[in-house]
Amino acid sequence: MTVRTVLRNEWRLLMADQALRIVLGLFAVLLVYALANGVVWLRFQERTVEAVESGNVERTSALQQELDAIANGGQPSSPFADPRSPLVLGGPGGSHTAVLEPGSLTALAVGQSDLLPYYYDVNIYTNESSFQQNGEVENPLNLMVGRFDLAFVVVYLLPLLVLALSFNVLSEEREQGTLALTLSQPVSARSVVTAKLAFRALLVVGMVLAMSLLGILVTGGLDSPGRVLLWCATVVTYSLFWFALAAWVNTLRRSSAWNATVLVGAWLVLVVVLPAAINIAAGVLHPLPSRIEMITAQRDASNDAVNRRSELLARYLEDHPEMAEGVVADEPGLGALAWAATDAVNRRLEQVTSEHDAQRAHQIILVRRYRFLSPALLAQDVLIDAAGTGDARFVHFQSQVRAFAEEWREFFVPAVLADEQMSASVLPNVPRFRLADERPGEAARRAAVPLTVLGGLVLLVGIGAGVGLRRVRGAG
Amino acid sequence: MGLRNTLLVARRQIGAMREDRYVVFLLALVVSMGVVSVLGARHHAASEAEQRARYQTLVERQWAEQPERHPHRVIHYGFLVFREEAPLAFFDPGVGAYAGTSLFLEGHRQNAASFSDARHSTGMLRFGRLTPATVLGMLLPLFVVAAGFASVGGERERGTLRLLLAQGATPGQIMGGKVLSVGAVALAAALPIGLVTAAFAAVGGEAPTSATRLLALAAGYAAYLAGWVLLTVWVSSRRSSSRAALAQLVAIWVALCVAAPRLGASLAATLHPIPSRAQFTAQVEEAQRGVGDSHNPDDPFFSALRDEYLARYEVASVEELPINWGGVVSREGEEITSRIQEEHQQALLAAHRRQDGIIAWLGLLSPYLAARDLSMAAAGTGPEAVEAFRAQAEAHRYDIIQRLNDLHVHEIKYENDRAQRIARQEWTRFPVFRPNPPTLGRALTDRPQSLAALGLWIAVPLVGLGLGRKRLPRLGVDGSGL
Repeated sequence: MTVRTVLRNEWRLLMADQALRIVLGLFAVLLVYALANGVVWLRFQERTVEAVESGNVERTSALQQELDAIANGGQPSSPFADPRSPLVLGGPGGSHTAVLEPGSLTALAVGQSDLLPYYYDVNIYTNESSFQQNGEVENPLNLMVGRFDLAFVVVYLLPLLVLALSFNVLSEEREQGTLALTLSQPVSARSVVTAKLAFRALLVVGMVLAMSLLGILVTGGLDSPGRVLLWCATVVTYSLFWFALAAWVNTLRRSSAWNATVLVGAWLVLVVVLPAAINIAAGVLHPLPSRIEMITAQRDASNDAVNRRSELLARYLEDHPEMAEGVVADEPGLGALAWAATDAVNRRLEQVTSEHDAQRAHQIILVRRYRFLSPALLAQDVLIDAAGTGDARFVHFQSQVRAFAEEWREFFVPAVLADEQMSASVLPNVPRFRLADERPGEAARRAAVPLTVLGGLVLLVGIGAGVGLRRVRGAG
Repeated sequence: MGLRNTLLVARRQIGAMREDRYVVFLLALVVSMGVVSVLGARHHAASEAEQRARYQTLVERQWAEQPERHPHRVIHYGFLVFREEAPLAFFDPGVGAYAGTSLFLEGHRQNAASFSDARHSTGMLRFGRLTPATVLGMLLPLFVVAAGFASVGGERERGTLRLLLAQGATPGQIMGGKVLSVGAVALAAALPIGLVTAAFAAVGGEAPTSATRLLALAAGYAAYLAGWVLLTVWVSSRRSSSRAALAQLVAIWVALCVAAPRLGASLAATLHPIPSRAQFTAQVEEAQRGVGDSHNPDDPFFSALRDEYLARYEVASVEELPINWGGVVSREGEEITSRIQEEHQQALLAAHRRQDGIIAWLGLLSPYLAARDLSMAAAGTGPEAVEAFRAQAEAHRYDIIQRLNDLHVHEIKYENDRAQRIARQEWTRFPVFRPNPPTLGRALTDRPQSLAALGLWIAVPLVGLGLGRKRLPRLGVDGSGL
């Protein structure tokens, strides 16, 4: 009896089992639905990005027209919104929206992309508190539940399919008395079980990878082959973990029913209970600092600043000599005074935020260590990171927006301080946000440790199963 | 006689489960997880509530202690309100973590609540937090399955079912006894969690409201778990082997408790799409451009308004008006912008409600959705609580802004407007924001589908047990299951 015979036999057996056929069919349907959901979400994001970017163009051309009209002797449409003023041209009316393109595999894993902002309006008043106020208008109930995407099917449901297919690979043969017969042939228990599991793994992983590749082809995610590779590697490793676990439990020589109970129990603990328990433990052991302090700090700072504008302006000019060119320090304009107050508030906010962020980053590092307790947490983390919808890419984006806001201020503030008027000629020079997306290697670098640990787990459980299988004799 | 047999069967089953170390271990595990989740969630909620209350007091004091100010300056100074979590939020946080916690109230615009918990956590939070509500709603049903999947099938496999029938117990009595015993074990798991929750709720104050809410929670979860007990015994009696019963019950649990919530949310989002924030703000701005700019003196709407005021007071220019024209413009402008924003906000909320409606109907298929919905309603942490806070904060905002505009109209002279101030005593006369969360009765009557779903969830297996009663002696004896 050869491995090929085992495989052919297995296929016939699997297809003869009506329940398994239904389970496999249902899994295929869920894969298709999950992918469709992801594609719908990706298209929505793409439409939003497109609308936001055309908004940028429209705002600029409207300002251009108005400035041209004023240059030809026209009047501004409102005396409170004269676009020649740098506080208007660089203010909310002339703002530029910085956009993060959807991650290349968003259709496979929605991840955090429905929760974290992927575009920010940047203008001269953009400060740390602006980053807090860009909430989507999404239904909180849907945010709480999360989307039904391929990542969800892989992390939660795939293990159950693996277990349904493999909980009795060896125990059934023993229970039906066919094990002795099989092992009387020149073939070891190890190669029989390996062949059976390899066949099932090909089936399950093949289905998921085929659906993933279909999604990638449909949405054009092939541009970043590194991310695709990372996604596939994670799917394979995570699936193998569950196959190895099933093989190991089978070598414990218990009944099929016992195997099923233990494996479902393992799924429950590793996928449902541990992650939920970790979240509550993390909240108690490493609480994130309160953000309420940030809100009140801003109010205090702005109250204080308004009363001390002249003093603040003097200090500002001392700190920023490059901005002072052309400023008449004896008779500062109202705009310059107001800016000094705004700047003081911004500095105070930055100080509070950076303290808060440092504390928060520290706590998050501690919390993220707990991922290693559950393969489901590890897999989820790497999958969404590979898809470009994990926390890291959004943090990267926000830091670029922060730098862009600084660039924006550097462009407009000198004119504010000098009380200058601007004309249409400056428009082409107004800063534009260019996203420098993460290098492809970044996600792989972050995934290296989790993926190695996951692979190590597979190896460990696999070796345990291999050792156990060597002891299997026909007479059980 | 009938009841005695039922109780005898129940006692037998409880005895069997007590000897099954697996069930005892699971019971201990579920109870300890439930208690730990209450302690953990309580700790989290208490520190958060304490901070919000402290800062709310601070913001109120800062408002009252403002110096002499021009009313329009105060309109831009604004006011901050914090969303207080419901007293039972530690039991079921509901959508709280995904909604903003603070709202800045100022003139000319409705801000969205910002600083939601979820945005400041890691992606791990999407796996859900272990809260008492998830222990009762997700894990306890699985414990019920583990305790009861062999309740009838096991007797049949051991051949003791025939023995029981021969001793004169009717199939109805046997099933009744099994339901009672599995129910008793479920109660043994749920009761400690409920008691710890009740104890903390009592310590937290506000006893009268909490008591009815606790009762509603207890009733909801009792009905939900009763449905699981009935289903487990029913499936156990229908299947020829207890192994098949276990497989089927676990599959049902995965479908109802793990897959259904995400399927429901995705379906709702596809059927009733919601605009992006960019689109939403663009729509509001577009609508506002259409009606008039209160900052623009030449705006047609405000010119017409000026003519109307001049005619009413029979004067020739705004300078001669006995009231402050600048204040009038600000007041009218506020009314228009607020109305437009509220209209758009209501349209958006209607879309949210349509989505929630889809999920409510899906509750008829997945009782977990229905139980979760009722649990949020009873705990006061559902979407309606978030919306009530928003609506009341907006009403408060409109009220204080228009009071400030009235001060501007009547207490500030038009001439040399900006140099004048309102005395500081005036600030203490403003109303204080005290949100009024939706009542329990209101929250429950808004959820007919979920209430019906729980009724159905009990009725279906009950009817199944009743109908299957006659077949019990035959089933499995000839090897035929279903």
